[in-house]
Amino acid sequence: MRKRKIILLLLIGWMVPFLAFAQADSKRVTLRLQNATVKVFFDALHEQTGMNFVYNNEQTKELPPITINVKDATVKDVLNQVLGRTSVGYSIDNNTVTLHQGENRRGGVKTVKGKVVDTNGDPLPGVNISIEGTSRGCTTNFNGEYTLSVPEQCRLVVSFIGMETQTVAYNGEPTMDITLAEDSRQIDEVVVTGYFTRKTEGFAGAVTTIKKEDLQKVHTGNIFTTLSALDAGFKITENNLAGSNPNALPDFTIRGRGSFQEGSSAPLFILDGFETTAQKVYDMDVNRIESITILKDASATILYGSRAANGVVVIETVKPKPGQLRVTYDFKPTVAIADLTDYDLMNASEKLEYERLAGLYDPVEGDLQTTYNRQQKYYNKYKNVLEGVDTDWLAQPVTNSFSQTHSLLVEGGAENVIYSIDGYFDKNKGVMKKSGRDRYGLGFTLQYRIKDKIIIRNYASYSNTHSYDSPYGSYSTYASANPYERPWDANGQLVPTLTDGSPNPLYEAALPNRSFSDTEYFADELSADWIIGNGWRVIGQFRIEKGNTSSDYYRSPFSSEFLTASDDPNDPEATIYTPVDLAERGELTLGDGEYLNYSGKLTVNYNKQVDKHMFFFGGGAEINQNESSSHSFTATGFADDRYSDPAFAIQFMEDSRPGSSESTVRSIGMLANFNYIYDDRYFLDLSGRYDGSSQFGADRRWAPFWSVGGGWNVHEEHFWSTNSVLDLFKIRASYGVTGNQEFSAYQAKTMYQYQTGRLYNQLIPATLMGYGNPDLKWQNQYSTNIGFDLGLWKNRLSLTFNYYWKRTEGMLTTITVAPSLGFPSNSFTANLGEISNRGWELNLGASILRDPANDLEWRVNVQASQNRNKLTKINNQLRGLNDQNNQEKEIPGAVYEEGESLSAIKAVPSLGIDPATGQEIYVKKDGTLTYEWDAADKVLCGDTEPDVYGNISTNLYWKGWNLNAIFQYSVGGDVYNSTLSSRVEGVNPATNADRRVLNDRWTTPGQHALYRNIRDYGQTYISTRFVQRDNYLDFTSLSLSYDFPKKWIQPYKISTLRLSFYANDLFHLSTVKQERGLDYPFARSFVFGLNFSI
Amino acid sequence: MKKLLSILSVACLTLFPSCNDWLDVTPQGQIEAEDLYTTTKGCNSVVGGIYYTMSGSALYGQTLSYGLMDVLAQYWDLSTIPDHNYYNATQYDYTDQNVIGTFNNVWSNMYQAITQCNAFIYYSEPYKENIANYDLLLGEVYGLRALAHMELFEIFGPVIHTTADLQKPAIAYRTNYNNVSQGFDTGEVVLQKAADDLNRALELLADDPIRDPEVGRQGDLNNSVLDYQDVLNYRGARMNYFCALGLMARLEMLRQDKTAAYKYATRVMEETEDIISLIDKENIMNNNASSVYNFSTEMLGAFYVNNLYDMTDTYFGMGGGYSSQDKGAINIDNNRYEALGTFIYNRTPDNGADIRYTYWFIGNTEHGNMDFMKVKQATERPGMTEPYAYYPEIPIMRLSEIYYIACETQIGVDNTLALQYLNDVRTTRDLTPLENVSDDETLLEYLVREARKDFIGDGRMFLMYKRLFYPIYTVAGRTVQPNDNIFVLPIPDDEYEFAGIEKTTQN
Repeated sequence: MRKRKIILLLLIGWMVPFLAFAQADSKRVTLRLQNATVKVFFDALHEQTGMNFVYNNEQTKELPPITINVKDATVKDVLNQVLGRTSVGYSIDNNTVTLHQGENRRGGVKTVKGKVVDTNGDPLPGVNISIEGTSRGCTTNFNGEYTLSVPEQCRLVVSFIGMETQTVAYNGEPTMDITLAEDSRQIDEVVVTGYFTRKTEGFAGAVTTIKKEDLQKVHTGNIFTTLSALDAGFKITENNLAGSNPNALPDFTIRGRGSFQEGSSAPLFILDGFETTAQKVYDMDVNRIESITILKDASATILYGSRAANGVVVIETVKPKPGQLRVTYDFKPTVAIADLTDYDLMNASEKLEYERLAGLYDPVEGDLQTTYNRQQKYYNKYKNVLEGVDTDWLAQPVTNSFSQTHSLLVEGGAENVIYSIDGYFDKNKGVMKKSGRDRYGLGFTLQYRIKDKIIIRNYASYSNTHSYDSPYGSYSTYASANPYERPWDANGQLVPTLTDGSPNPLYEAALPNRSFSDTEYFADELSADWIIGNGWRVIGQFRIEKGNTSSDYYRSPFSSEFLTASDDPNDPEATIYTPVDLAERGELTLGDGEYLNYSGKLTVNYNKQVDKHMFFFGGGAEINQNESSSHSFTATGFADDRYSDPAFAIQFMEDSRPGSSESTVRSIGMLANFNYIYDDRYFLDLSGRYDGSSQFGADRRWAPFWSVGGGWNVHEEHFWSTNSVLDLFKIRASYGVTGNQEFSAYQAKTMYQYQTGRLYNQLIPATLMGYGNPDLKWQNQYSTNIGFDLGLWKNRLSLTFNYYWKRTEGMLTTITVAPSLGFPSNSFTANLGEISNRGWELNLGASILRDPANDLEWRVNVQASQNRNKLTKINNQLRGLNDQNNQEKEIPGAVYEEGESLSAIKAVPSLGIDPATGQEIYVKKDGTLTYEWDAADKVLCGDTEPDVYGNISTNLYWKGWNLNAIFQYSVGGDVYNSTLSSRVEGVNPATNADRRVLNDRWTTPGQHALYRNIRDYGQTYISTRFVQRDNYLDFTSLSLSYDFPKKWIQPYKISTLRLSFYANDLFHLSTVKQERGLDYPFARSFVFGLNFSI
Repeated sequence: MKKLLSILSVACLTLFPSCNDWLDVTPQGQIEAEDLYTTTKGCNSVVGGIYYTMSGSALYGQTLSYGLMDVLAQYWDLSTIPDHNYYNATQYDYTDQNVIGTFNNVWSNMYQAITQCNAFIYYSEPYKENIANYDLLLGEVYGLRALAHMELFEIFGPVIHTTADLQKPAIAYRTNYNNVSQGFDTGEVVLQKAADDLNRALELLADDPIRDPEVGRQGDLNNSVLDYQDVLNYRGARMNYFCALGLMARLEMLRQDKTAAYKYATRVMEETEDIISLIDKENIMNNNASSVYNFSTEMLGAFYVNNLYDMTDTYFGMGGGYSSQDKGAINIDNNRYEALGTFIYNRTPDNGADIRYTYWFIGNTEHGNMDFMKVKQATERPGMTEPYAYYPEIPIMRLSEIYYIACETQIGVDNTLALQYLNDVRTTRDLTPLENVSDDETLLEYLVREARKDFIGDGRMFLMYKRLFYPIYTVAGRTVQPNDNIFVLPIPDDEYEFAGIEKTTQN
């Protein structure tokens, strides 16, 4: 934070003209006047000193005629002599003497000197200081110092961009130092790129900045969900399987997918200047975040070169402030409740009826035994139904979970040494029983500085994450369990098997099965900031991080996993379960890993202003090494599930080998940024980066990236200066090329592997693993961004619009080759193919009510985005993959075709269900109708990418009360409704399913039904019937908070106190009726928040 | 300020060149090619990898020896088990997925072996000074590359009726390690390139220890851990000088240059004297304890297949897991055993004396079927004197093939000499020498019959039928007339698609 600010100051320092501090005292005058007019007097002074005198006739009317006789007197003496006993005061500012009506009756004019610093004690250059009620003032120099002639008693207004404006009373003291506090509301005046902090005025990039106070308005318990709620451009791919599982990291993209197949589209995360993983961001304490900046276009991300293509999320943490010991504590208890509203399952009698209709109990002609068996089964179940058995399986694995987060910050320190200690503890329990994620961390900051010379800071931290999965397993097990089954016997004990002999999932859940993983790491960041002077500044940073991971997966020997199902020889329709070999019952997989990352960075800044030309130059270099390794093994055969240590295992899992992986990635980057602003109106931004990485092929080790951007601050034009309506109107454009190197460490190398399974004679043979492509390189992304920012009526109305076009070239692609090339699996990786993403983003904010007198503001924000994705070039050698995906019968796979979207859905056109037969009628490519499904008939019939998506938020503030609501919406996207295809049709009648199975399926000839013959429970093939338009509205977040007024709490030595309440995911309205949260249910959460500092 | 700038620029200039080295990361958990090749041990492992690939079940470990190739040669009658995996292969139905899949694997595995050869030549070059016995290793690699291409040509190439057919496109002869697809070379080019590779191999293998009668096939038998050199041991189970020389004879036959073939054949006979010779039948007949059932003393070149016995146990239903239901197993039951006698070994004028029939098929009391001793591991017996006798080897070339080549090249030139070569082999098999066979056709027929007896389990017979365009005589007594559609195995569709080669019907 401090570093950022200093860079900012450097920048802005150059923007104001450096003022020559002329010494008015040193000018000597010799005057002899008798009864002269004021004008004559001042003209004479002007002639001798060259100083200017500003006064008006009103002021001087009162003055008597002037008689004076001095020799080699200072101007001040002369003025004091003449004006001393009048009501007119004066002030000298450089070369100008201004007369004014006098507060200085008692003391006249004083010169005050001093220094303006920020809360860290760092000097602030370029700060405006003016005398209240006048237009006179000055600006601080590079060292934050100022000198100003002032009336002996007056008030000074000290203002600076990004800082809270302060008014201080001056009572005649010779020096006065002023400390300015940061104004968080003003923070968006600068852009934090992670390398340099740049003033928004001269920045051409497309960015979104999220401030601490925005984050306080939303608390979902998941930083990514919060980010997505605050900026629709940060798009989370909804994971219908993982639901609200606290251990599932969501997938997210910024401005669409820029790679395909295994290529990653996740943005780069930068925490305090260093690359970090999404996982670490997920696990960090939200209270530590000062700001999050999402960099979107090439001009903003360019300095990250080969890592920049998917966008960059820059996170800055809170830096300690000097002063008295200050303790801030934040407590957030959370209650989460599973949201099962999307499940509509049959009850016991409905389920049995469905089974009957599906023909499970039909008599078999000529086979009395089977007929008898079937009837017996039916009546057994019917008996249960009559007895009132209607087990609510869905409710069994879920619970109302209680989570809590504590966060503590202690800070303090004096002039040279500042310290802070931060700690947090977060116990995040999931709605599935016994699942959750516990995190805790501790950090210590120590900062030392020699004023105006050097600042050294060290941040050491430790953090630990313990994540554990529910022993209940996949939620889908419970959604398909039959409600007429009893999981407990008459004594309330869990039964191991259900009536049909299948394992009871609740019994399974009660076994001491476990699955958890731990991650801990220790990190230390050291930075040194050297202010050289004359606009130069050097910053060096070094970070080292050492981490350990471990995982433990245990399955009890009594688990149903170790049963094999086979047909019952007495009843072919029944299944019997027999246990596997003793030595294979029970399973324990232990894994451990460690990593060591270090990075170093050196940047140099230079600022220069010449008249209206302002230059900024920043250059730097960085170096990174990430090493990681992990090992694992699996043991089987446990006698007693209480003893699960590997010491009790009988053997290693049959045919298994110890797992091991290792990766070392090194990279070097050199970067430069040049910025030129003319008269605050026009600006130009040029950047370049040269990246070297060990991941690139041997022949493509170094990669150049560059960007150019420019803009026009229309509001700074002179023709607007009289118009107070327009606060901001900036038009900007950028173009650049960045890269994406998201691939495995050794992909570009030719690798061999030892074949230990079979020796050649006594020789351990080594065979080629694949062709290492020496030409393998980063994916290049050419991106263009055009946009404008508009602010009207003191930002009561603000509008930001961006249009972008991105073209990703040389995508990493697995290329199938002729088998005669002799590569294992007949393929190698190369750069091939092109993707384009086009889209726009709109952010409209309006203050509908703004009444500062009553401390009231109501603001509404609407964000809308669209992204269109297209494969513009593809190699026909991807055909193998396409064929494979195209053959997919149940869930549409991605089919990569030139000119089509990556998220297109292809399905076989369907005319619905034939009322005569209950079979589905498909339309073939040639237009003929058939009952036969053929993958070759698939047509493009939808796209999961919506026409418009975004969010709507509203915020009402009144006297410390803050009410905030955020809705997310999406219009025009398509979805393949897997509930219909697998839980209404294609469902095995042995399992429970959606109620539509019973109500909407075809049963009798002539019936017009939505879904096919109830007796047909074969696989459902991909058909256009299941492609549905998914328009939805989510009530993502609702929060209410109250900040207690200072005067109430100060008597108790509390400086701030805030109480808050959050409710998340209150509803999900959708045009598609689909089961959500298949493996793990979605949840609604309610959070109470307490935050205070003393 | 200037000072700072100069410090920075000096730092940049000194650091930059070393950056490239620093960015070159050596993986720990995997073996990087550039690293593996720097040592003798690594190079041996790489060459071992080529042998590993070629001795895998997809190639000589099964398919190209006792597996599908022998099925195509009609050694086994599968008419009683029509759902056997290879039933369609006996009908030469090359649209069958089992046949196509198996031969697609032959194609891609053989080319993987070739690519490993090319990678060895490409990567090892800079380190050749540091690699012990580099000439031997490189010679083996050239020899293996030639062998692999020759085999591919023999299986997938066109039938060479006349030398004009050598102008037809056959297969791609790959000599470079890169990712560029290559069009098909004509048979003439393929064979010329193979000849070049073999000549290169012969040069490099000039000092092959196998040529030393004191060493021979078994190599130096050094079992010291410290200075053990894989390449010097078990020379018979590697691509060696004699094998390369023998392959030249086979190659000249393929390009229909019988004079040259004869020259190479006689050269092999001369040069192998005292080192490799036709078997001593007494060894088989009188001393079961050290009987070399696979006639390994006749092998010019072989591949070592560590799991040969396991695989053959399953394939011929010899092991404990014998099941008559198995769609992959060919059990040598009494019917099959009888058929082998009637249609292969005991055809007039022979009458059951053949030691191959007697000792290669021995009844197993456990399951009542015959054990195929040629490929089955001999039970461990005390007093085993020749340690190499029982190594699980699959021959690449036998000395008997050289005799057959010599015989064939003399047919129509000097039939007496031709018959003599044939009788040389017959005598060692305890058969009476043939007499009064003077016409070319009969001589050739006897030659083919003899080869058929010898080559069972070796996979050579079908390719011999193909080269001669000779009728295939089945163990059911039927005759399958020669036909290009039978003899030319289908090249994988992927090859045409991804190499961008126009698919033409090869006739």
